[in-house]
Amino acid sequence: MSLARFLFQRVLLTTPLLVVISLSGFLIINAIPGGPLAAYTENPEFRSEDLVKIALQLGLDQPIHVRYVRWLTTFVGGDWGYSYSTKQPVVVMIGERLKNTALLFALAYLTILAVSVPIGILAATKAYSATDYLITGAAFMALSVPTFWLGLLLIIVFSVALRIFPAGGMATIGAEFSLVDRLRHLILPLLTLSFVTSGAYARYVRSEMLEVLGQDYIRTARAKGLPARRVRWQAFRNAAIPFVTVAVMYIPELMTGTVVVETIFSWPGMGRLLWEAALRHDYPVLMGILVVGATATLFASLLADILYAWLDPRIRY
Amino acid sequence: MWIRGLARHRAAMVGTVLLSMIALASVIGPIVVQYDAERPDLERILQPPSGQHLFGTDELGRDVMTRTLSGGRVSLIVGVLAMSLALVTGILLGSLAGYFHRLDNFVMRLTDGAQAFPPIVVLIVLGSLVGTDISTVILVIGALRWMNVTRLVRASFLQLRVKEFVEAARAMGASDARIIVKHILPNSLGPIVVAGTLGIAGAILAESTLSFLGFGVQPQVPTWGNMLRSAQDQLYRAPWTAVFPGLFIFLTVTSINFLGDGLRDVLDPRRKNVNALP
Repeated sequence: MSLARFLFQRVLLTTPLLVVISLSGFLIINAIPGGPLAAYTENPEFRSEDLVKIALQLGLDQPIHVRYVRWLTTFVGGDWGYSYSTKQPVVVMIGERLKNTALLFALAYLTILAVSVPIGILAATKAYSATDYLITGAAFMALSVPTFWLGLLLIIVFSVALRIFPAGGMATIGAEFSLVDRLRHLILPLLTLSFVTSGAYARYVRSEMLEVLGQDYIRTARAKGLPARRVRWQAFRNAAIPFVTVAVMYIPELMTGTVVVETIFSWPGMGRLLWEAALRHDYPVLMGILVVGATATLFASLLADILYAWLDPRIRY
Repeated sequence: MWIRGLARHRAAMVGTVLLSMIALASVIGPIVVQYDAERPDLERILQPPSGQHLFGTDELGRDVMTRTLSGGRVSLIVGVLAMSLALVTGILLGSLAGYFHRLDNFVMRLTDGAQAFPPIVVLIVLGSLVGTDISTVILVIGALRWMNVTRLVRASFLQLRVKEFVEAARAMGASDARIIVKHILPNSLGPIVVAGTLGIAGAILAESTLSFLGFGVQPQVPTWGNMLRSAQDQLYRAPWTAVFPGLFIFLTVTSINFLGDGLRDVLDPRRKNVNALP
């Protein structure tokens, strides 16, 4: 079938999942102790008659499926409610933080690709040599490191002992905007975030390349007398297809890393917001982040499927 | 039989030895060592590593080595139990999905839906909702890992379901349950064992992350994760409080990964050996 039809089918399959996600989120909020009025019940200024009035206003006396539909329409319309703690609209809060996280995430992703792919290919082309063992061993160690430990270690070495890099924040407070300053703040979080996944992905790249290099058509190419560089390039093109799909598989792991890194380095992003909101039991914010995160994951896998189908015409089923 | 193959795998052997040492130290250590893992000793706050305190003391004067070994108990147990929970659930659902065609669609939709949530968000939201009891932590972590096992078991079952020995068993009058449990399941154990082993590493990391963020086990009872959490405040004064617990997580996860890798090389029917660290 054509790419367009495939795309259409996949999008169609994704939509019910989005509904399920929103439904789960909604049910969770309503199941929490105190219910959706928890912010108000805690506050001693509200008398019980006021609470009843608010409940009626918010339509909380309606049956749950009616409430869900109403909530869904407002949510899709852009009204995500107000944070219990800061009283700001949730959309605004998340929006502010989203770009900071996006910056860190995107840079980390690029770093991972830039580091893992060449190293993995190198290890595969020199398979079973000393270089290979070195690389594979290092990658193996890298992927076993707990991210938060690495972050703390980097702070100890570079911020406490050597004092080269700052231990947190996006920029020096009160100072003018400076690219150097931003970079200095960026480097430790970036390093921490990319390290573990680079190791994992490098291993994967190596094993995929090895598998491709063992194929018959590579032997044919070599027998034909093609220069090694061209053979490698051909192998890479074939291996690129699973590279892409597997790269997407690491997104949830990277999200976990992002939350940890943002917490350790006081990076004002969505991951940190998630952590703060959970500590304060700020459910509207939590729900907003849940939906954003799940949607991002779904779209990432959709993207992977599309790329895979685009690169390999055999897969269009 | 296959253990011989495993024994030849150097990395896996290193991993097993290291893991056993850590496990042993965690079990015996806190009993043998004379310091208390939980009782504060305010005269000995934040002492660097010395002859008396090999790993130093923490912000409440407790011996870091004792706490680290103690924490090992909790982290290892939580990891193993959480993964066991995930394995049981995964095997149950996966076998049903792989064997009964009508259930397949439903189970896979369920699994897909569960996997759509980014794990960290689930971890934190559930963690903040359900409190910090150890059993709930185990439940939460297990709830994040069953999906992979289900897919694996299902794939295995789909493959094996059409083989002749199943047909033969059916012809002899075996019930579905019997075929599943006594015929297909034993033959699909390979990938399950590998996934289970590697999953324990993941579960240990998940527990550490959860405790590090404050939603897991509370700091009175040490786990590697919450020790690192308290250590965050002492990075300038007492870096050793952060180095050792994390080091143990790293060593444990590395050894489990070595072991799991070795198991995979031995048990994976494809045995291409392309990943091997011989």
